[in-house]
Amino acid sequence: MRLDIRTYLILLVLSATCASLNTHVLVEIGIILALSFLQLLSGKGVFMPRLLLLYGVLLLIQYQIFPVIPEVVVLLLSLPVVNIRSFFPVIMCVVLIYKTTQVSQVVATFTKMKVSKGATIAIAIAIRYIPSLAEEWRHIKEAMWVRRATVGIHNPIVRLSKCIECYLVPLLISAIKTSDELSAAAITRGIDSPGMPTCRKYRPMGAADYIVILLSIGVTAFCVVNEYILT
Amino acid sequence: MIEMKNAGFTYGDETAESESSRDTGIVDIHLQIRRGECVLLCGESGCGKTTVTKLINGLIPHFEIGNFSGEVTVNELDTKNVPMYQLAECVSSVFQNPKTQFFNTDAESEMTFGLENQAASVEYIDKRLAQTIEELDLTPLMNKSLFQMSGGEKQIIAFAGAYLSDTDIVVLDEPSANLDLWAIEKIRGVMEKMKAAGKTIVIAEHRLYYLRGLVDTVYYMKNGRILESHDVKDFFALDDQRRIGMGLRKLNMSDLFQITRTAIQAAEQNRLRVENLTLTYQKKPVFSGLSFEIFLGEIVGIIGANGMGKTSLLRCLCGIQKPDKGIVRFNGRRCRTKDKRRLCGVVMQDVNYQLFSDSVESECFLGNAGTTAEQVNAILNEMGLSACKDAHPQGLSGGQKQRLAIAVTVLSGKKILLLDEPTSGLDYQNMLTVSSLLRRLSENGMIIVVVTHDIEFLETTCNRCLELTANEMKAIDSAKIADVFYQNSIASM
Amino acid sequence: MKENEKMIGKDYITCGVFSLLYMVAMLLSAVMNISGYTAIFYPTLVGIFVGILFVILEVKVPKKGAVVIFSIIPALYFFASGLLEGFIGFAGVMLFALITEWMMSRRHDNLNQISVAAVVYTLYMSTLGMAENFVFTDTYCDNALAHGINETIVEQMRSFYHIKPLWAAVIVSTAITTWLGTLLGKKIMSKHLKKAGIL
Repeated sequence: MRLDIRTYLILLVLSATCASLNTHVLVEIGIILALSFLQLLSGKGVFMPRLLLLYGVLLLIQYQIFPVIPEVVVLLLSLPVVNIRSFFPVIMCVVLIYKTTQVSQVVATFTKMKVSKGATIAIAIAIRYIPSLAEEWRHIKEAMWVRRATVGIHNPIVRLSKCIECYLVPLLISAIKTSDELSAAAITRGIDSPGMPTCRKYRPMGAADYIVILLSIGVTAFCVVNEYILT
Repeated sequence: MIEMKNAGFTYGDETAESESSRDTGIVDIHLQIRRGECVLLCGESGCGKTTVTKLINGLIPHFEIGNFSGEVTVNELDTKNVPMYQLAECVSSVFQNPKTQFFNTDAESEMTFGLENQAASVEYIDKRLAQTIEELDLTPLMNKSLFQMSGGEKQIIAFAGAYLSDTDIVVLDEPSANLDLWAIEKIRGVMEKMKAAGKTIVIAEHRLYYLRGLVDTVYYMKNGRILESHDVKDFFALDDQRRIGMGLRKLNMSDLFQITRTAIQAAEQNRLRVENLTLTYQKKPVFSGLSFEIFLGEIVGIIGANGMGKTSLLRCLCGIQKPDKGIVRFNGRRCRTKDKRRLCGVVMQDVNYQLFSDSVESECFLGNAGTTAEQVNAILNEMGLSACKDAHPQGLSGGQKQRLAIAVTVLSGKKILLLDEPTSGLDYQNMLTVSSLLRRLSENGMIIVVVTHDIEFLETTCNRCLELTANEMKAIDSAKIADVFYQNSIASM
Repeated sequence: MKENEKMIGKDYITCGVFSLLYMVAMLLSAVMNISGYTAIFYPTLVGIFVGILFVILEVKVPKKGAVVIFSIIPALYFFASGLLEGFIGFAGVMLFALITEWMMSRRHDNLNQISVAAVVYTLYMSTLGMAENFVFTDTYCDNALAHGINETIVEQMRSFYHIKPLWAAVIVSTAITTWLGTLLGKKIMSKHLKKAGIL
């Protein structure tokens, strides 16, 4: 099952709303499980068992380990553990969107929705560039590892700045080169055409989309009532 | 169809500070290409062949900054006055670097991108897509994300995009630069189909052998001018002496292959010994139980089919990747990751990521604390880089970047040099330079391991050739290398 | 407006790539949120990165609208922080992007003006972005408590964020680091990008 990008965006905003609004951990677990279920429905490889496990570990730390360990440690760990835990619905949503949505669908849907062409291209390129960026980062890291560029520099500040330069500059250079080459390829294929392109990958919203939207609105409404009226 | 009158182009704008960005691209080009003709532009790096392709697809004057003169008409359209998107309807292009020419993340949309921008109907696009997939036999690729594909597979998708768009003219700018034999064979197939469909094809290329039987006319360029035009029969019949004089790569793949250097036997201490090396990646076995030896003063070429893990092998040797099992010994002593890092220098396939400094000279000092200025000067001289001592490493040509990376490795006192596809984008002259350089380094007592599918380079450089298979390193008889290459490329198809 | 001052395909592509780098810088800087105190340095750290990216982008794409497109991915990221906060965040980023566009509307080639614009641009993080902590301190802290953060920490944070001069310090320090970032960006440009003939 693949949902529409619009459904995903609504789902994202609403789950973020729930995440910041809701303070009942049982409700939160329910949301996480519902999102996991949605991930499982969305095809192979979308659901990441390790991510769910991490959530479980965070819960365990907060509710079982914090009460029994010295407070000094709790003071150190409380903020990151709790913040990441309560942000988890958003993380689950982002994983769901990133793994199931193709650039072509985003472009087609946004074009149909009359989002400005510039914004559409920029968003499409940003999504497409994420894996390239990761790859570039890995290459630079490996090259640095072989090179041992900071050997022999003892001053820690000089060392740090050299290190940053060695990572940042190749990254920037390759970002600029990549965007130039991408542009050349894109304009020889008519990206600057003023007319409305064919949106082959556009699909109208289906029943599943409306169900998911209604459900997520329902859950959000429940969170609001639960927070402000019941308690 | 395509006509150029007195066309010229100078790169860079008048205010550019650096001189390197104000090269003369081409001067005084007169060219006429008939409908359905297949034209090859060849010549050394920097001769202007890529620039000519840009004149046809409109990147000049619409994208590149510089000074354009003369007149170019494509399909009766004056490229100067016609916007890019209109040219895109009759010209499609494939570029060198497969990594940076796709816009989408899925193969299907990538192929239809051109037609979608032309606002063709969905029915027509679907029809063309089905045709293309069938005619080019792409079904196995269609379910993969573009990011899971190898460079060769990506390039095939780029070709398929050009094929699907069904434009009258196809412009190819060094399409085989980053490809292995399997992919080259495959793109040649696509080009044959394009030609059969009556397309006009313009190719700028270093590797020539695979174009035999495909091109109709050959233009030889030098210093931005078209020097000679050849009928295809005469061109592929050029003798070796003439061809080498022109600085061109081999014209015939099946020429007798002969390793010119002899094998070396070294004393027990002076060798790199690998025992039982095993690697699995993402739970899939890459190779297992590899054992082999390489002697000091030797250059060993490693060949192997696509996806056999040649690059992973190099990464294991230098310590970037940890193998599951296996011991690497140097001079009889077992190397841990730390030792490998100290011993091995690597020149990766994409050398761009390995250069960090703001000048060639400072690049040599980076990470090599004890180096003296004399040593740097000597090595730069040897590498033929002393003229561009102050230039920025990222502004150098591909061959120069590679030589700089080698220079840095030598300066850092490393004993083993590993190279991954060092000659994939190089012309004949640059390939020879790398080759003679490596030979000199090995004579001075360095161990050099080269992963390559460039037969010509193997032939001029290596002492020995090993084939990487799933569970052993096969020594290969020098006379049979061409056969192995050929079988590998058949097997991966 | 002249034809070559309008954004076209290649400019949008460059802006998209830079926008992603901006987003990555924000995520990296989020390390600062690991403790309640260092969270005030979050805009300070982002400022350095934004300064670098901003200058290089403006030199690469000296056109009207570049900053708005540059802000689009971070703006969407804010949008994903909930209905109300999301809308405020999105609108805030876009507002500052527009102010910056207006500041540079006359001269896109003046590096000093670009640097000043960059400093103004990052103000949204140190003003709007910090408003929740400094203006609505009690709501913020109560919410943190309700989500299960240790009470001692929340009370420390509450008294910490009631020190209002701190906010001024955050704003000033962010302005300074952004300025430093632009200097770094210019340095990288002249030392590397221009020299290599890439820009």
